[in-house]
Amino acid sequence: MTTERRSVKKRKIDLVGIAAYVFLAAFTFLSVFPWFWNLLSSFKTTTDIWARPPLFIFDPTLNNYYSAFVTRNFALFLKNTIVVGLAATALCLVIGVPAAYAFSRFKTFIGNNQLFFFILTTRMAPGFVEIIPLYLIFKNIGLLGSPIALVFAHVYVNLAFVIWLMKGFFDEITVDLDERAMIDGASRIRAFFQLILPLTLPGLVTTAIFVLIFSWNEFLFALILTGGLSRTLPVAIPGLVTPAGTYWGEVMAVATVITVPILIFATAVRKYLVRGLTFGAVK
Amino acid sequence: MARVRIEGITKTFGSKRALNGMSFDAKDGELVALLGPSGAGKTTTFRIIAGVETSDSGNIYMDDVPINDVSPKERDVAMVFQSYALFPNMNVYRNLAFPLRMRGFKKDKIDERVKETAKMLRIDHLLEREVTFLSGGERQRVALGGGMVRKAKLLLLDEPLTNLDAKLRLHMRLELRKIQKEIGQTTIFNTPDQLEALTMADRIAVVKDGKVQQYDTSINIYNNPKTTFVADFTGSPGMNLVDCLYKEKDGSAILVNDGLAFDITQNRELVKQKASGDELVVGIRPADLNIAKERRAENDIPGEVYVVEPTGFTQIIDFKVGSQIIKIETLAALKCDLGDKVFVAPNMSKLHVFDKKTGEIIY
Amino acid sequence: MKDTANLKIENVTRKFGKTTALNNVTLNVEDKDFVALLGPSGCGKTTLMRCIAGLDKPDTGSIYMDGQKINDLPPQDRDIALVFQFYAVYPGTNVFGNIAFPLWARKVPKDEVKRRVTETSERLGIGHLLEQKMSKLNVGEKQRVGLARALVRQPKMFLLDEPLTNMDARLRLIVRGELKRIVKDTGLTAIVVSHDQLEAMTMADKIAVMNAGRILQYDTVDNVYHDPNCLFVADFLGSPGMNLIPATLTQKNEMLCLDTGAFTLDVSQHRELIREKTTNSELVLGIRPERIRISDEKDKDAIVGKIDRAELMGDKQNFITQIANVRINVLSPTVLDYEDGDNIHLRLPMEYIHIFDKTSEMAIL
Repeated sequence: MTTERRSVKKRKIDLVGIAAYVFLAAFTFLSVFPWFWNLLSSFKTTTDIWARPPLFIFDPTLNNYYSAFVTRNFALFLKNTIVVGLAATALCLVIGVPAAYAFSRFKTFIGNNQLFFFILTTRMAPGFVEIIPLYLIFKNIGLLGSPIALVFAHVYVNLAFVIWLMKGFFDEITVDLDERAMIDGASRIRAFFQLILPLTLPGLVTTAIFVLIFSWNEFLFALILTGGLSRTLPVAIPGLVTPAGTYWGEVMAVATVITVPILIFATAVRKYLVRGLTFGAVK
Repeated sequence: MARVRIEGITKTFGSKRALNGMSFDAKDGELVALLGPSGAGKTTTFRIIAGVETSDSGNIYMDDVPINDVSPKERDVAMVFQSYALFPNMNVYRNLAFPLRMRGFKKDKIDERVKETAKMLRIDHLLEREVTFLSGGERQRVALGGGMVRKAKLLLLDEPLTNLDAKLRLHMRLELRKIQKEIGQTTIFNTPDQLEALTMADRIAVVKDGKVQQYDTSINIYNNPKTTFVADFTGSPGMNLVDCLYKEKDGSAILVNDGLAFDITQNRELVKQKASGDELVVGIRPADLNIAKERRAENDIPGEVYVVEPTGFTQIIDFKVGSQIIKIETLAALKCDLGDKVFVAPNMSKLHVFDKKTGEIIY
Repeated sequence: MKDTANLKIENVTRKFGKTTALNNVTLNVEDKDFVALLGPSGCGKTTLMRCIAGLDKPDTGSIYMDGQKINDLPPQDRDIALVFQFYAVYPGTNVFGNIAFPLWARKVPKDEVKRRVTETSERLGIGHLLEQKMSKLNVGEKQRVGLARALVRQPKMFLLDEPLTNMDARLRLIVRGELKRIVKDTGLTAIVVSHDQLEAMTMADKIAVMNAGRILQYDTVDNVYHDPNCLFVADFLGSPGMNLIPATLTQKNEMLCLDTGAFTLDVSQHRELIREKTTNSELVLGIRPERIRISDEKDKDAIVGKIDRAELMGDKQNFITQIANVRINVLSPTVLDYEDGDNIHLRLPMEYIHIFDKTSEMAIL
């Protein structure tokens, strides 16, 4: 009688497993296909793009890429996006990580919890609310349209998150380690750089990736704060949609270029990403 | 190796008074225990001595030089944390070398010291291993090594044996003391376990609520406790403490409680002099009470067996007199059952009397 | 009020994947017995307890309570009260509410509840605290509320899961005796699970020493302590544990001796017994630290050792003694005048000697 029950149980599990796989496969397909089609289309001529039925086999051409990046200056926009992304990430880390450490370690300074909470609340206002003031501020300083403004905006938006995430990582490391290092002869700063920071590498990588990806794809602030030659890729693409018609080929090419670097980067560090997400966020 | 003196340290955390005038000292090469229940302020004291926490008032002297305002890294104090604080991304060698690197030792000197310390703690075969792959006992030795490798003037051990299993703890009690005596480093360790303190330390500072109640050798702490707290906290079971009232009867002085009466006529004057009132506490250790099934002397105390707890070759008999329960330690040979009527005679020369209000010893 | 409650566990096996938690375990708990399941973590004691309580099911074998097979009976129908480590009292309600809870859950009528709660709490000496809020009680009283709550269901049996483990040393001493007394007073059959040999010895009547899914020895506390049937049991009970010294059986002229490398012991009187039980000559000599007799330098036949460390243990003293390459503990019931480094003269009385076979680890003597 026991053996019967066991085989029934096994069968049940298989059903659930199959259903799960089917669901996941469908979901994956639906997520990946648009991007794949995008990639394919970027190598097609306009006629091929519009072909009915849709073409999977065709004569590839690099015209779209040349047209977008050389003729229409997208190489410049790409450079802008990279510069802003890296700068925002770097600033977020340089300001946020030490701040997170301070919040984690120096629990006795007055208002610690309130200060931390206050910083978190800065992220609760929707982007739209902050756009107008930022626009006016930068206009008055005369930095409107400069990449500096956008970097500032991106840092502003992400800093709270960086501090929150990194504080979680620092909290994971017992204060005993800091204190042991100090008793053994390291100054607090030395202890921080040489010992504690390396232990939070997954956190640092995760944070960097988040900020980078955010900045790379960000549209709203970029739209308002940049223009003309200082535009980033997400903002420049709409420029390909003209009253005369949409340059689909170029759109596809640019869209592909937007996604590929991030994809490669994220794949390379995905090990850290998983560790980082599960370690820090849950606490 | 140095003399250390701590005087009148106070520390308040928010509304809590953690340390209330902590004072004790350690002689050169001594092994001193800080014994007390959790929350008594033992770890806080250590952190203040090491310099990672500041005191509100009080002084710390190393070789008679005050070190209150010296930063932790200048203090020449090494500390081993209860959690061991091993760097997880380093192997054993680097964990041991760390303190020496921080202090600017030269590479070959580091190598020599690390190997010497590892050999002494018998972890020299583990030098290449990552610390996350070590057993609990091995990690403890690495932590100890990290503290000893510097040969600092003072070594602080925060509950060094607490995280080990029972058998290992027994073994390390002896080893730790042996190593300490071998290297002659002045060492203070922390523990809530009275047996650990009694077996290991040269002197014990018994701590309660941030204050040292008694500071003396193991034998004196055990045989001549200064307060009811020390009497109760040492020994397993601790000293029996019975609240009594002083009464004069027919020319004798006796302390009474329910069915119990202790004749202390001999020490009447002493008690009258030192006591703050009529309320006193009689203290006698479980092993200093004699129990038998028949009455042997006139002032034997009658009562019944409340429960019998065998502990191997001895047993603890909970003896009920009126509403009081007194624990008696006796050899297992005496077979008693619940409810048996028995007679108990205290060893009067080992009887102590404390003042109830102050908790201080009278004799 | 209640009829008998005996437990019979027969050939119970329980596996978790590749690990065998319980390996053909048989145990008989008589009515009113207080039995301890003692062993290191991973020995199977918790699994066995869970099977008895109904929280887990054995793969093979049977469990009988009063003759009735209870393998398939769900926990709530088994009439066993399980008391957890922290006594799990509800802080919000008062004492009465805490104790009455399991009865309310079973829809027992109100006046019956009142009667039983009052009766049980009187028995445990907390009858006067029924109206009190839980927060106002001390730890001992809270513990009794937890016990009352288990008792009020009038179970046939008590299962206690490591009841003293999480208490600090002082509280443990107070609670230990009380708990034993309460169990004796109520006359219930009880099983306590523990990894602490002192806890098991002080509380239970009988101990089942377990390791690696098996019961190695099941006997009264006295017998398990004084007559261990194997090395594991001999080593596990007692603190400091039994001195276990490897020795070789040798023939010296007419005498049969055990040679430890540091001293020899004449065991000729047990020649028959030893020959019967083993052909191995690699044996282990065992003697408890408290059984070694300390004599003086006038004793010419004494074994001379050097005191490595004279440990003060309160009233007693433990001499960690080195004799050539053998190190042993010698426990003295009083504090003596020896110091570290002194010589000490010892005798090992034959009546307290244990001999084990080194390979099989079973007791010979």
